Amino acid sequence: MTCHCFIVPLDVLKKFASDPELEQEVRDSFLHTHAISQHIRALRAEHSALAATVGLIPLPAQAALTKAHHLPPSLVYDCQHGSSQPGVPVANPASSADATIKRASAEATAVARFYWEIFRRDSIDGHHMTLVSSVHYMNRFNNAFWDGTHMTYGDGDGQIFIDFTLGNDVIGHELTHGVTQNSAGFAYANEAGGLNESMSDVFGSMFRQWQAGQDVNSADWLIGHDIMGPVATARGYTCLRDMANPAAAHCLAPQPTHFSQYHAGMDPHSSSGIPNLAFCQAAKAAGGHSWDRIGQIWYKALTGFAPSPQMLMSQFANRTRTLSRKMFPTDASLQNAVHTAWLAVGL
Amino acid sequence: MAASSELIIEAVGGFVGEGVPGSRFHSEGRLPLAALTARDQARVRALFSHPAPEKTNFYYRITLRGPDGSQTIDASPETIPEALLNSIQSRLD
Repeated sequence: MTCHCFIVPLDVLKKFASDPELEQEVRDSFLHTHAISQHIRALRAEHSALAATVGLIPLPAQAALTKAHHLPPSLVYDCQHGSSQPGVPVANPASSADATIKRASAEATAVARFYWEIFRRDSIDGHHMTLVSSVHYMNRFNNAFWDGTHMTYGDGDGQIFIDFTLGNDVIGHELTHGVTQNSAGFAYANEAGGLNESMSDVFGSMFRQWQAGQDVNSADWLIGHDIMGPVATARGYTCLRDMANPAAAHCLAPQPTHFSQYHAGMDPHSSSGIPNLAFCQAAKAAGGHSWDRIGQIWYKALTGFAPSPQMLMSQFANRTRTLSRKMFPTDASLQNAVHTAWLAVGL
Repeated sequence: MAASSELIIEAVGGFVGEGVPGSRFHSEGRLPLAALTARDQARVRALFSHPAPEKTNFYYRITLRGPDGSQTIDASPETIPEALLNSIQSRLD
């Protein structure tokens, strides 16, 4: 995912720092910001370079993976209803009296455990990266997001949405943005953007199903079901997105169901409906748990190759077809499930 | 940037996918530029002086509407004054 992190240009900060029309206190503030911004720019450049190369570093050999594995640290920061990031560090979040803090810590660790036990991936970068979550962001903030380095969760307004840490698919979704960033690196625009968003819904949903012990038939395939507030549910909305029926009326944000509906520049949260439906249909046709076989193919397609920032949906589809034949060479039924699922969405 | 200008701020993206065409959920805030402190007005002027496109998971779209017309930029959350962020209200269709 490309992150054009917006920072006020240094020359602009310098200009305002010496602007005689501004009060001294304001000028001093810009001078201070100029100094900090130089450090922030250096850190971001370093992180971007690191993320781009991490995907090329081979994961540990199988022998190394048989040793007892320790899950990565899970840190939590409290924004205390302000906008400053990451917030105030929380000591011992796993035992916090604040349920939101405790949940953010526990569920991030659970996602790490999911990636390790199912895919043998050590944290979101494959190299034991510390997981960082910020909670209580702003007042009644109705969203959650990944900013390239950590996750941020709002408390919801209690009407349309409730506490975003209550949705384990939310946490799985956001952390998977980190997995994508450290592997395929899908840019956040056009078809690659739709794939980026889809990977987060796919693995977020798989994580939710895994925690609940659900197979493909008992899963509801709904994204955001657990964070719907009373106003949303009273109006008949059961989810943000539905992987099994992306255009459904019960979705807060209906999506296209076929590639013929795609157009260049389409919002990634919209276009992700196409590959979401393909994954859901392939998993249902294959049966069992979504992570048993179809999930393994999707994981390999996402992480087993060099970064492809501008990947097309057709290329990803064909990659999964090829992988289904390579990974399950005697399972014609499974290969057909993958092939047919993509055909159904026009790819 | 006239003192009578109005700022309109919309959230885009994130888990919820705000700003997606066809979504029934919307978050938007409006604030007169003059309602901001001098420091925050300077920060907003800085944002509009050097706009940069955002292609990240979550950002804000800010429109400045004044007597001479309007200008729209995208900005990441940490660059926006908290008073402007606090003006945002959510609604459901």
